[in-house]
Amino acid sequence: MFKQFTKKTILAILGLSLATISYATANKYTDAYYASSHKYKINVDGAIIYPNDLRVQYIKNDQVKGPFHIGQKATKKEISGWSADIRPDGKGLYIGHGSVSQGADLFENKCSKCHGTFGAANNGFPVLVGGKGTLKNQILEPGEPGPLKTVGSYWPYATTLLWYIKTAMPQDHPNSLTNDQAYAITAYVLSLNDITVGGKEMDDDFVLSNKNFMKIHLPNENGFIPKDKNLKHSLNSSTNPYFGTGNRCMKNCAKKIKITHVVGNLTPKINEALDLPKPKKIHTVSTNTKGAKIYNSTCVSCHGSGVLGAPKFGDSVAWSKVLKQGISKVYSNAINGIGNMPPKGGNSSLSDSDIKNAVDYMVESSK
Amino acid sequence: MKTKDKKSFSLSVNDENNKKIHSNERREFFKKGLFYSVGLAAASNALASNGANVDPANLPPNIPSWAKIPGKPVDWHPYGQPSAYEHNVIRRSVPFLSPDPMADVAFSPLQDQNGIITPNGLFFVRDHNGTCIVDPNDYRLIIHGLVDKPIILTLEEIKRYPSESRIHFIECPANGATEWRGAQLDSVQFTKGMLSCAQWTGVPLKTILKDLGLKPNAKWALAEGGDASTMARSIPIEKLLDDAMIVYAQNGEALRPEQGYPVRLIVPGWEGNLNVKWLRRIKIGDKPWHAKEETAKYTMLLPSGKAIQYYWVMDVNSVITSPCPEKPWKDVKIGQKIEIQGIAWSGRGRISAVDITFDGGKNWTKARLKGLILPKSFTRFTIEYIWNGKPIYLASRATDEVGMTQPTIQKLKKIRGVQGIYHRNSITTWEVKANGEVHNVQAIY
Repeated sequence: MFKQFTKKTILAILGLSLATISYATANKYTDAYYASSHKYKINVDGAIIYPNDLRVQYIKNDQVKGPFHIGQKATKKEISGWSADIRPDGKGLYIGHGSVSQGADLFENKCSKCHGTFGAANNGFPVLVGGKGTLKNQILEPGEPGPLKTVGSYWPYATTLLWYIKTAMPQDHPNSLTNDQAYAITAYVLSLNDITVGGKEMDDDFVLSNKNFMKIHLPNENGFIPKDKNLKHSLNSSTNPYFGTGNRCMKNCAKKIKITHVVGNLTPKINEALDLPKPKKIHTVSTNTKGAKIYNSTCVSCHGSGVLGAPKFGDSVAWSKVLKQGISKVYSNAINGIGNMPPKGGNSSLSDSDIKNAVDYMVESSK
Repeated sequence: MKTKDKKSFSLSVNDENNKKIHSNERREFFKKGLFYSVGLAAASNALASNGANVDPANLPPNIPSWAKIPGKPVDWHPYGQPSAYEHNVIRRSVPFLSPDPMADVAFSPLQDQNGIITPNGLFFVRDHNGTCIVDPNDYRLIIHGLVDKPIILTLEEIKRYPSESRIHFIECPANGATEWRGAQLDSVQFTKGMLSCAQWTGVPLKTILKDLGLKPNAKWALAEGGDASTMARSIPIEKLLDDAMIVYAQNGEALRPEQGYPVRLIVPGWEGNLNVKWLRRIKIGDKPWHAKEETAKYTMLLPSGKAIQYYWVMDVNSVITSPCPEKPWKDVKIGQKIEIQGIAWSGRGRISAVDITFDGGKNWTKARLKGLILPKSFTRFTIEYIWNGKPIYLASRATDEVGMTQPTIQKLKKIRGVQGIYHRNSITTWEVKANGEVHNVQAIY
């Protein structure tokens, strides 16, 4: 207190600014704090020197308690519009139906560009067919066959497939299928895998619906561990044999250690230099609005990102390669299809001149 | 490795000069350039250890060019940007991992990560059908199912609940999946970079769920994203009532679109995939849903042909980031005492210890932990080292506070085979060669 008194007196005498007074107040606080704790040394600036530099404090607000009365009651209509989930016990199953042959047509139009004809994708996208009897395969040497995890060989429940197709497929137009379409495509994919419904084979005319769906049992239904009732058991590291844990040996932990090196040359090359980026090439953007519209509705799903070998929008190198064959060849490829690209990009409602417009737009925007 | 003489010098002069000048004369030339002739030095553009050009005209005793002109105005970038010189510190992807950049992963550059917080622009990205662009005004979250009061919330309303900020890592369970059969990618970014750590701000889910009232048979929740893949996962209610959060901020600012703007779920310490981005719906139920991403994917196939489902927790793990293949010891000189450091993390709590080996795993030395030691967060470890220039096999091995220690790759293969893809938390070993190069290897014992 004496210290404070003298400070205040001096301040009054000197008539210093407000800023200086607030400094004195701050000093009073730290002085008091110091006096009460005796624990801390004080730095030249009056701040605390923490022993061993330890300065961590984490304060959690444990007084949180409702009711909060925040938000609106979600209506049944709102909830049902967003609820497409189906459980393996059939809870949430959609009302609808679709035949295998309807599914085959839909698959050809909407799915085959990624998943391949008959679901046998060979382009890195998921293969939908086959793989039975491969789940025990382990690739220990290069070239050995691995497990093939498909709907038929690996997935435990068909409900998952219907739900996934309905909400996530086709990838370029998700949430676009009707319930009937989703049933039809599901029926087709299951039939490709020789799945039976209540013992009945799924031939072309077979109609899958909410009435017979729960008779489906996929071959690998029991292929997963643990079963739900053992979840707590499985989460306990002392009872689950699969947890990734070793031991903390410190000396002479191994008699012999074999070092294996990187095989192959798959690591992408990267530049770590601290330098300035090279100036980026400025792309021209085409004003061809008609072409832009068609591009955005049909072509963007592949050309936007350059998947499946499609020359990427804006990639001048990729497009200049394509244009080497001449623009008329590029037009005819776009109209008739080439490689993974179906005729007219899968949209048969477009006219030839529409397609040419879209090609022009992509070419003009990729110079 | 190089000593202070010839070798270190040869790395300091660019190829152009090397060609022109006989190696015996190089040192003399360099000395002259540096000490006697400013003009010559300016022309000699030496290489720094990272391979970039050095302009001696900017080195002492010269006044560097940037001190001779005013800098940029304070509003140069209303939203701040990294230095242009840091343009190579970026997320990267591995072309062969996915045929589709919308369902792919961009790895975080762990080699450039300092401290325990990953900058928002470098946080790894895993999307299932593209980074979703959500209008925050039209954002809604529905919580329904086995609750007394089903609710629909706007972003503003979510922000009205009492908030918490916590630091947690997120790791994709497929992190390092390319390395089951042996070392394959010579990089820390591509073998460990499906991993980042941030401070998340939002509402503990228990605050909201308790307010809504859970029915007695509420055992599971389905957390669903509003993106083009409608990504959904089942989560036990015990976890949601423990430490799960609905978050809208990351490292002090709004979530980035790649991280689920405007709202994502944080399920601390569990598979990255459960931290559902663009969260639109939480449905409470009495059984799990067996969604596609918890059956077809994110399940571990064993040699028996059975697959492990619901392996949620990211096991204890660690990696040395300095050195690493991207940050070699080419500039390290004999006699220098340098820091070896890295990151350790565990989905079960705090890191309690990290050990370091220099011989591939025969003998281990305790490293020191440093900085904040937080549960389910990055923890830094460190050890000082004087390298004698001989090759070493460097590895770290973390132990967490529940007592789990990282296994060897052999141990993990023995219990799980090589086709499991996910949850590979085995010890990562770097080979430091005599020339200072660092490579990814596997120590088999």
